[in-house]
Amino acid sequence: MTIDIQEIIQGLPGLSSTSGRHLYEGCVVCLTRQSHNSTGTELNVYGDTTINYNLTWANIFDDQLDRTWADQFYATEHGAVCLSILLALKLTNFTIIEKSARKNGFDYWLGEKGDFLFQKKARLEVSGIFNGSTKDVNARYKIKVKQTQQSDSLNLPAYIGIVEFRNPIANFGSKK
Amino acid sequence: MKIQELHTTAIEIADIAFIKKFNGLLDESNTLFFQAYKLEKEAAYLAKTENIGEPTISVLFKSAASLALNCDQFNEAEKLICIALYGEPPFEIAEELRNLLEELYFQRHLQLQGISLNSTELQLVIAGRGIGYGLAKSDLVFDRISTFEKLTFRTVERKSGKPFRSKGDVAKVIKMSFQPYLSVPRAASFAFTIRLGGLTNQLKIDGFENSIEIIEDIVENIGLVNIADYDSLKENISDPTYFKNFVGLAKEFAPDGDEINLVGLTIIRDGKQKDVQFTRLRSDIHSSTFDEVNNEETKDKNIELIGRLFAADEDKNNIRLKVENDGNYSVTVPDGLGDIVKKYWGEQVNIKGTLTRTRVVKLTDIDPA
Repeated sequence: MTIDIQEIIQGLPGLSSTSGRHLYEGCVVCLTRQSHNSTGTELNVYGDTTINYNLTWANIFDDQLDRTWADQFYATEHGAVCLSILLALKLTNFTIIEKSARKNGFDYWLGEKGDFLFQKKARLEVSGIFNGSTKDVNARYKIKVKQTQQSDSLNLPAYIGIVEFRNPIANFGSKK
Repeated sequence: MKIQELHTTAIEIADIAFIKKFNGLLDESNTLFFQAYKLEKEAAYLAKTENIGEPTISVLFKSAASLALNCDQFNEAEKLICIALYGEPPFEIAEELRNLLEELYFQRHLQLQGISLNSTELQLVIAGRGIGYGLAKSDLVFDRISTFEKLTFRTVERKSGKPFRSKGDVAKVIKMSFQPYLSVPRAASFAFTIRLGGLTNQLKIDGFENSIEIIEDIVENIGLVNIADYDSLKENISDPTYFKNFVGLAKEFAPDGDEINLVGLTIIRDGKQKDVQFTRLRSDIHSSTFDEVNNEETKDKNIELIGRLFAADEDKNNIRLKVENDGNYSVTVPDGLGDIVKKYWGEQVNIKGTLTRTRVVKLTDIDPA
């Protein structure tokens, strides 16, 4: 199973192609800085489903991109959003349908096209780790689950995606 | 326009604003954020008037408030958050609104509000669940003051060209000249002024001028840890032991995300106020990331243990860890991490390291368990 990360540049109902391109750049920067191969890098995904994806992307990394994305923290967050959105498209029946502004970015809302604003939708909570272990990924996942557990009775389902770029691995699942 | 159209247009404009901000085009970004805020605010009020239900109403108000914050419309952001909270937001959205409000007030607290700082002084503000208005859990404050003191003395030693001190106490001349002094706390989340060498005429130490340089160095380097710009930090702190020590101490200084969400530092530089909002969580700062040892080579020997620190041999940079149902481990503490380990004496800790021999671990990271 292959995921061509460039797919995100096409945009989604709630994600402009400009934003998609920005997320794509962040993701390529993280994968390249971890010396992964653009023609095929295995991403081990676990959580609701255990599956290995072969990631491919265009080798656009150069000095300019390196300088533009000097802030590794920012790159990791955006790279993780990129892969989590692509995983949501592959592993769920949802797509990105709405965004709402946060201080430093966006919340991503999943849904089926045509739903009324933010109603009957799921949220996508994302976090990235540039250099960590499975334990770090699982610990971060637990923190995210804890953050959302008190809204269980309010019909706000949440999907959580934690992406780690060194191995690379992703823990993707819905809050149980 | 309908609510959906207003919202979609607002978010499209905000998309571009965030990218402009990322590219350093702050004026253009600010203008776009203002346009997006106006549209999202209109969408939120319309949603409220038409009573279209939750979570739509509170999400739109929260989104509009975030956009208002991004274009420095602080009063408007406060109003929008309060309107959203006055409704019936779902618990999770309400928590996010409160966090946003806390961030907004933190911004206000970072302003000096009549307090004048001189260039050898720094304002430290702490906010979070463990902090009330003017009241704070003592350990949350004392730990950070103690860490700040260590950061100060280590910075003075480094700036004066001394090799990293792995044993012994801080030189008396440094202690006398750079001892931090605290003001009376202020009720602004929890804020106070720290002055270096406050009561004495500062002694001149070869290599640099005075406390101004030290304060600026600490604040700049904490700012770099906050944005994870470790390459620039390495340029500022080229000695690897001092570097590891600084990252370790910054981790202790950082918010834990549970009781402390925000740590703010304010200084006066060239007559202007400079703020650093330290929001990066300690769980996102790893001393082990910077080890020169190739991670691939040591991958199989990496170990994580939870136990109690119970004995230390300072001469050998060695501590003992008692792990329940698994006996004792000897833990070697590299130069640079000694300052951090001392704090956890007698406590349950979670350590990460590399197994060098049977039951002998070289420490890379330590956290409270």
